[in-house]
Amino acid sequence: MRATGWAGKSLLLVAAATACFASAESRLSRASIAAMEDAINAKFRVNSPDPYDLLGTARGTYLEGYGVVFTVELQLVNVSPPSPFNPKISDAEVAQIRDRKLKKLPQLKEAMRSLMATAGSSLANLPPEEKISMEAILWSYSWESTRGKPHRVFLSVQKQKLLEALAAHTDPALVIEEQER
Amino acid sequence: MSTCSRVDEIRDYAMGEGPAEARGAIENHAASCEECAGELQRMRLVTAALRSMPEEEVPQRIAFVSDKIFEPSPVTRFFQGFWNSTARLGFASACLLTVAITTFALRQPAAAPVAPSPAAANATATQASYTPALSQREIARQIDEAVAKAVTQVREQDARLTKAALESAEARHQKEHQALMVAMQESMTVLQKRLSTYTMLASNYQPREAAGQ
Repeated sequence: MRATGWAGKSLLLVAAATACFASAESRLSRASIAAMEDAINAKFRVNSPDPYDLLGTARGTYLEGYGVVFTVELQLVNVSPPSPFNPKISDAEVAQIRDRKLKKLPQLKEAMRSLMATAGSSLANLPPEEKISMEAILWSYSWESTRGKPHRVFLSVQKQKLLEALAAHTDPALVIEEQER
Repeated sequence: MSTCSRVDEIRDYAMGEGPAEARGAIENHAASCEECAGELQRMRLVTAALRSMPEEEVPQRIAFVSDKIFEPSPVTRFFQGFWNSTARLGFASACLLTVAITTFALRQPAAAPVAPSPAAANATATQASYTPALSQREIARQIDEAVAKAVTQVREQDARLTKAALESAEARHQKEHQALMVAMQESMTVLQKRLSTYTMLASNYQPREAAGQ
């Protein structure tokens, strides 16, 4: 009688612990985040005449109550830095690189918006009131002209709003918040 | 050519001459004679013009070139007399030439002895009164000293300029070298990031066959 009581209590304790761990487990699985990371890496590794220079693979993190955040580090265009064989970059070349990067910036934002739309539809377990955020860290050499050129581009949108915009076939740019730093 | 016989009376009248009792008759004639009226009008214009001119003092005396005031000064007369006399000029030129030749002869240093014998050289060395050669030696020594000093100064200045240029070039080179080092460090950072990226992507890469299995 006494042994049966102990067994029952133990079973009850195990059931309670299981329930606790189950509730603490992330709603968003690591696999879904990794799939999204691969999509981001593939997007920025695409072979084009003027490709991005991917310097840091995409990293995704889920923050309970906020949403999912993806970061990626890249250089907008592939630049040949100074070397002992070409120690001096001329002012004209510096200006040309700056112009190329500034022209590439809208393409980057468009790519990020497209990826966020993909994330909105693929991250099914993400609660609709939480956010999907993406930050691109832009690498620049110290000898480059940084005038008018951001170091970071941060886009963020509530999943619900993004899905509504996609369903209505409206431009996601209208609901995605954009910040440049 | 006047045709009226009373023109002369009209002129006298205009100049205020002639008898006073005849003036009335002349005025009456001028009123009736056109020629005399014209003459009277011209004479009045002339007298009015003469009266309008300022009165000048008549000079009391006229100076002549022969006056004493126009005579040249004694110094001027001397030089004029000297310049106009060929004999005096010739004499003065001869005097000047003599003075010049004498001065030149006195100031010319004595000629150096040509290949003197040892005895003569000794004798020359013992002569304390051989001043021109000594002074020449002294002058040469002073010139050598001045040249050496100037050369030293120029060399010092050159050294300073060279040192400054070298320091400037060194600083510029150092700056360029530093910039290149920073750029190389950044390049290495970028290469490291790329390597990490490719390593990460390669580690996540799954061949299709393997993924299908």
